[in-house]
Amino acid sequence: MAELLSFPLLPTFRDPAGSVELRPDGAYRRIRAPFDAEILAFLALPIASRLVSQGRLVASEIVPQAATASQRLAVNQPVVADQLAEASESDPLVLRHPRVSFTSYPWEWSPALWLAAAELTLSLSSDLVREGWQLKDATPLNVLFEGTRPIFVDVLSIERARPGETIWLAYGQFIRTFVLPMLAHARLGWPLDTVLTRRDGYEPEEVYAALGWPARLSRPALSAVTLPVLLAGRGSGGSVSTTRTVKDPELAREVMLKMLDGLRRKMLRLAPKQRSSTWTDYAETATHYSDDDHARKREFVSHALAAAKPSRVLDVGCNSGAYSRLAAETGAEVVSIDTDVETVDRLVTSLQGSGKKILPLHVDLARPTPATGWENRETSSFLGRASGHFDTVMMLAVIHHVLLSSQIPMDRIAALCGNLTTRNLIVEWVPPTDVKFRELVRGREALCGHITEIAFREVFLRHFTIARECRLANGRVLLHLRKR
Amino acid sequence: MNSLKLKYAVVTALLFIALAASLERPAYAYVDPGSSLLLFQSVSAVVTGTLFYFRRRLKSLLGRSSGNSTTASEK
Repeated sequence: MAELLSFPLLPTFRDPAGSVELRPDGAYRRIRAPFDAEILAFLALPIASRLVSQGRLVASEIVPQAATASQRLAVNQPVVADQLAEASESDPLVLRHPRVSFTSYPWEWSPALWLAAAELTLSLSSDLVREGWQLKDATPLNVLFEGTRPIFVDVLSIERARPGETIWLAYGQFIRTFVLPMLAHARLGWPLDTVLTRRDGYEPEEVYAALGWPARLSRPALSAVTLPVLLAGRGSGGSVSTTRTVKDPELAREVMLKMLDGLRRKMLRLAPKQRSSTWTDYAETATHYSDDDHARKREFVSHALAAAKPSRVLDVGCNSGAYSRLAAETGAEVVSIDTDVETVDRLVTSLQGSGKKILPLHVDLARPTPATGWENRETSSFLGRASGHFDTVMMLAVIHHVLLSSQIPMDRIAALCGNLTTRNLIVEWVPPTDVKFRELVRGREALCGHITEIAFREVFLRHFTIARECRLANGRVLLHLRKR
Repeated sequence: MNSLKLKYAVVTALLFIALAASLERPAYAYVDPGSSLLLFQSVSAVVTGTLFYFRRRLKSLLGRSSGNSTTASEK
């Protein structure tokens, strides 16, 4: 697996109040004084336990200092004595949060997951405001997903609201990192995955320049883009980094709640009407599969999953998620990836509220999410996160796309599969005579002369042994492979 | 009727004085509040606040006047 490993993530460093470090047994959060007292006061409140029991806020447990030191030693991190002494002086509080099963980033989410993350951020904010607390930042990076259920993970974002405060300083960040990417996606077709290169989202001025006048005047662009840009154009441009408070706390709370409600309505207006793409009706309209072949494929995959007894499954090219659902029925946690964002969005929508442990993500295995941020160590690559995570990988009816559309050599695909799974691979071989294979060749026969079933078996059997296989009437072959 | 108008005038004046004289101090957030968006939020906060204030005043005035009419009918 060494070749897929990226440099380890840096502990987070932007919030001066503390930092988070991911370790196998949990996310460790060190909180600097004087913020420790405030967060402890919050965690002792009924609202904190209510949010955790509702599954909206990640759980926190206080780690005793001595344990922190031994934990560090246990995970083989060299700690010298004076570092320990410094840690105990300057970091009086360490919290441990349980790890969410698979870390995903906003640039891998479909619009439905963006909306769910925004909805959680805003509903959490409203609940906090009613109790005299607030969030000090509002970015999609504060939310992770367990299946399709969002969880707010940045506990240190919660702070005591200043009495009578009428301005939410994170409002601008919410607009830049939630509203404007969704607006640019819905109105301009800018892909959501480009936020990978935009840590702080879009500025209203950038989106304003791209929108035509009718779009500028439509909601929510009018209040999220046009009015702010026009106001700033007339303003002095001087110092505006101030907070405003009023004497009447009831009035301040009302202003805050109305503002949060306005943001919620903005996001809802950006919910996409489900568009169709080449892939959205693929499973329903597939003609290259007879009913009999379908039944045999389903039976084969069920059997392979029953034999594999997986706990973590990666479904590559999940489409409508039929096989992800089969995997989830065995009790496994499933991450389902597809290159088509519309298909992923439909799958997310169909899963929301079902409680199924399936997380659909918009990821192309041939161009997987890279690591980004400072030193490329703030967010990790898809392969970095997948490394050692999945005991079973499914690649059903997808290998011809990787071979032909992405032009990846067969031996590289086999090697990646060998690296991705720790135990099982359930793979479907699509022969060059297959109608779907022919569609992708488009006259480039010279490119694919070497792609044969013999070559496929030869390279895959370097990394795997065959546990079971089944040849369908349409010429495709299903294989349950075990890692050597 | 005149006294009601006067009351409104006084309330409005007080409200604007309160908002204008509201405390300004440096923000200590680590996120960038933005400039255009912060300005827009300040304006909408004033609008929302004003509306809320008037609605509350109106409610209490109506509440009091309907209370008066009940006592009048009882007399």
